[in-house]
Amino acid sequence: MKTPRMAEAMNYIDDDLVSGAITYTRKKNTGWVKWCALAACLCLVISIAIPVLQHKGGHDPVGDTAPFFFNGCYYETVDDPAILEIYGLPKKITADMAGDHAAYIDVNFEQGFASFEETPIKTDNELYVYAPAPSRGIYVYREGDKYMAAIFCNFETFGSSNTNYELKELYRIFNVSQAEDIASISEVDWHREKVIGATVTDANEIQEFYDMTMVLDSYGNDDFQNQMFSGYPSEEKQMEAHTAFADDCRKIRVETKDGLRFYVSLYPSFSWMHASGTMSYYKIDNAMHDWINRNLND
Amino acid sequence: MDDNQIIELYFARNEQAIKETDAKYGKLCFSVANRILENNEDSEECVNDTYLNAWNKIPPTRPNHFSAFLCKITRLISLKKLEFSSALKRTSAVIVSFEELEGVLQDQKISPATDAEDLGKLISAFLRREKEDARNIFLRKYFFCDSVSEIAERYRLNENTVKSMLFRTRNRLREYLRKEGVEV
Repeated sequence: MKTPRMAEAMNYIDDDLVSGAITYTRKKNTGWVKWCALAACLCLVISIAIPVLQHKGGHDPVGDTAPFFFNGCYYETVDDPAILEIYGLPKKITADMAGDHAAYIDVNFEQGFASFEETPIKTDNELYVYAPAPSRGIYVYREGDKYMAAIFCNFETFGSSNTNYELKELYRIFNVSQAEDIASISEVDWHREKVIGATVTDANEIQEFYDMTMVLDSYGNDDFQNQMFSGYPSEEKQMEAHTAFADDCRKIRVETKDGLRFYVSLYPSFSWMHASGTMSYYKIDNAMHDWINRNLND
Repeated sequence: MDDNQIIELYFARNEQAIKETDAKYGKLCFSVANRILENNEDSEECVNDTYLNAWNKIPPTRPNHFSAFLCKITRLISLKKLEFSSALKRTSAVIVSFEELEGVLQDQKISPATDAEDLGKLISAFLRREKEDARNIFLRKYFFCDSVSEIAERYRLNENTVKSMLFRTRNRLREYLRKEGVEV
C-alpha cells in the first residue's frame, strides 16, 4: 500500500502553513479593505516565498530546525532571519562568514526523519567556524551553496535525565571567561524577540552577576524534580505546581562582547534558575534575588 | 498552557510535558490519526507514538509551530502504519485525498530528481501565493484529509463551493509544478 509521492510531499509543507490551517477562521467580506489587505499580504508572501523557493536543503520534515551532534554538543541549523536575530546573528549567513573548516556532516533520511552525523568523509554539508565571532556556540553550516548558522542547543546528556553542567560550561561555549566578556544582560519576552524592561550594562552589576552565577550549584532534572515536585497529595495538585512554576518563568538574555546571545530562565518565586543549554537547574540565593530586584524589577 | 511553556517542560525533561501536550493537542493529534486510520485503537497508538517522538526530538529541536510539529509527526506515523499494516484498509477520506493529489501529478510523471521534500517546498511556495481561503481549504483536504462536508461546515461554505475551489487550486498547482519543471 504505497503512499503517492504528492501525498508524501504534503508532510514537508512549511510548519507555519500547517499551523495556519489549524487556527484559520474565515473573515467576512469587507470590500475594498480586503483588497488592500491582500495587496499588503502579497508583498509579505513574496518576501517569504523567495527564500523558500531557494531552499534545497535536507531538513527534517517535522522540525523547524534539524539538530545534529558535534563535539559533545547538539546544534540546530537555522536560516530564519527572526531566529538568527534572537542569537545576535546577522539576518543572512553568507560565505564570507565561514572561517576554518570544522567538520563534514553526513545527512541520512530514515522513515521520513533526517539525521545528521559528523563524518571524516568529504560531503557537501560542511561545518565552519563562525568567522565574525569564533566560538563553540555558533558555527556556519554549508549545504551545497547555501549557508546557514548552526546554533548550540545543549550539551550531551549521556542518556541520563540527571546529567547536569555548571553554568560556567555554558559561558565557555560562548567564549565568556570573565565578566568583561559580557556586554549586557536583559530580560526579554517569552519569544525572546524583544527586551522588556532595563538592559544592564553597568560593569559592576555584570561582574556581580557573573561572579554569582559562576559558583551556582547545578542540579540535574531528577534531583530538581524531587526537590520541587515530590510529595504532592494528588496528581492534580502536582500538575498545578508544575503550571505555577512554568508561569513564573522570566527569560534573561546574556549578550557577549562579540554580540552573540544566549539565554537562561529565572523562576524567582521558587528561587531557581534554568539553562536549556546545560539542561540543568541552579538554586539562587538572596544575593541573586537582590541583584534581580535591583536590576530587572521596576 | 502556552506552547513555549510546554516546550520548556520538554527541555527540562519534565514528564509533565507529555500531559500538557495531551491536554492541549491530544484531540487534534487523534483527529489527524483517526482521519487516516479510522480506527480508535490504532489512532490512540499513533498519538502515543507522537508524544514519544516529540519527547525524543525536543530537545534539541525547538519547534516554532508546536501544533504543526505534532500534526506532522502524527500524520507521518499514521501513514506509515497504514502503509505497512495489511490489516488496515485505506479509509474513504484517505482514498479521496490521495486520488485527487495523484490527479495533480502521478508518481511516474514526477521527475526522479525531485524528492518529497523538494516537492513539499514547492507546494508550500505555491500555497503562499494562493488566497487564504484557497490555501487553508487545500491544507484541510490534503494534509488533514478532512471531507468536503467537514470543510464546508468549518468555513461556512456550501459543499459545491469547496469542491470547485479545490478543483481550481489543484489545476493551478499542476500548472505551477509544470512550470517548475517537476513533470517529466
